[in-house]
Amino acid sequence: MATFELYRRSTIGMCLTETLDEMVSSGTLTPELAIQVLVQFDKSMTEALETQVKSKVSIKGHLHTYRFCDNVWTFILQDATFKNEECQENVGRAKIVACDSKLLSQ
Amino acid sequence: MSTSVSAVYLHVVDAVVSKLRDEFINEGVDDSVLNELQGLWELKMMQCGVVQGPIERNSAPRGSGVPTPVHDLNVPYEGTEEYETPTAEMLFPPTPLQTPMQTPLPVEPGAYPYTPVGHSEYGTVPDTGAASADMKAGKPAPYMQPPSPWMNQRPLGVDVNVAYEEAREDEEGGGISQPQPPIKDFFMMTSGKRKREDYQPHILPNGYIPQQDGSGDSLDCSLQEKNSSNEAYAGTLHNRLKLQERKKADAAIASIIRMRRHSLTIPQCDGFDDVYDDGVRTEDYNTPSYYDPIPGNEVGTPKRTKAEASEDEEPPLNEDDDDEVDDLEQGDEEPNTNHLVLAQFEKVNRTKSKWKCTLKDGIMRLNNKDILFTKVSNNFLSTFLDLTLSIFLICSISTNQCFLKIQERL
Repeated sequence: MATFELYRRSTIGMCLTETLDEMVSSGTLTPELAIQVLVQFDKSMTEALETQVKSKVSIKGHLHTYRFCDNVWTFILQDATFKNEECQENVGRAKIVACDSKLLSQ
Repeated sequence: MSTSVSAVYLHVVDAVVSKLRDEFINEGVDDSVLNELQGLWELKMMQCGVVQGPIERNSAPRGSGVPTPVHDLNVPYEGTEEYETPTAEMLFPPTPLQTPMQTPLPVEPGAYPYTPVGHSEYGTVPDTGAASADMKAGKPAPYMQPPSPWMNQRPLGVDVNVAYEEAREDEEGGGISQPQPPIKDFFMMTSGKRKREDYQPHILPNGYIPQQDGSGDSLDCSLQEKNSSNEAYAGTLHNRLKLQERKKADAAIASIIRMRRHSLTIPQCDGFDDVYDDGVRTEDYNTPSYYDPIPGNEVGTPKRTKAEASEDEEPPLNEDDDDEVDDLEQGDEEPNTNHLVLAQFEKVNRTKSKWKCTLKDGIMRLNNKDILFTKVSNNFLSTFLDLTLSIFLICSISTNQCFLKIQERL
């Protein structure tokens, strides 16, 4: 089953990647096992976001760049505002990377 | 029921670890490795500030929806024994290590898609790791090469001097017109560094080492003649010719320099010296003098750099013409990393300058905070371009109208 490697770029994903790097470098873990860990992480992360998270967000901003390549949308926003039920974040520049959700269900 | 980001992350960690336990057992890997992985992973997340410590395994989901934005580093980390700061032994267990250049398992070059993100130094993971581990174990670095064998040939310089004198003595006996002994040696020997070995000069009794690199310089030559009475007739005929050529070249260069200095003609400002032949300018690109411009004191042009001189015939590359706005995407100007949103999209629509995206199941990293969402709605993303274009059009229309009114009045 295909997984989105998208979430490996998140904080939790980067922490996992660094940990796996160290363990593979030290020889504690084999590269194949490390890949399996990452694939399992992709699945678990996607499932957790579907089931565990309920919040909604709205985004407003000026679109500086848009790109659609290999079924991945990349947007770069300027002066963006992200509103949550609990908080609001304003950033000068934000990058949005979005994969096609239909690919997972295929 | 809203769960905090920290709780969600810990749930993910637990899920990954529990689902991999069987896999690790099948691979014959000890459970401690998995525990170590989990411990390190959670430690790193705590250092990033996305997970609040200490971690309580069976606790209810936390009530606070807003996670701590920044981990307080002033407070020493107090964890349970299981999660205390990993020691070197934990990180680098004394497992038998492979030799530095071997990988633990045979891996095909194409079948190893494990490319660490953002860690280019881990390019060849097993090699560098093992090498670094070796260094930690106190062994000499495996990449240190033994002294190269050519270094042992240093004394050859002395030997070269010895043999050279012998050859010269031979030549002296045979006269100038017998260059055969060096040539013979040239063909006999197989070594690449033959030129020095051919002559193999010898340190003369008076301590003078004769010159090996071609015809002697004028001063040295005369000294050479004066000092060595045992030497052959002032070099061979070949050396003499070389000497004469050098003298001629020196004279030519000196005369050119004199001409330049004492030139009283009006300096040319429109390019190089023109050589008119039948009224048509001929350009000789072979002679260097046609390239060198007259020193720019009179002209006042900026100093020409080497690059400009070399690209004289080629059009400028216009490398700096790129729009700097395009670099906005590449450089990380802010101290924080890019504010990043990772999600899946369901729909992306655009109406004129307004984009509407329906995203779902995303992680946002904004202002050093992690925010998770299940849906993005009601977003309005407008592009700048259309706005500026419309403003420009309005301005141009208004100026045109002004012009028309002025013309009417006139």
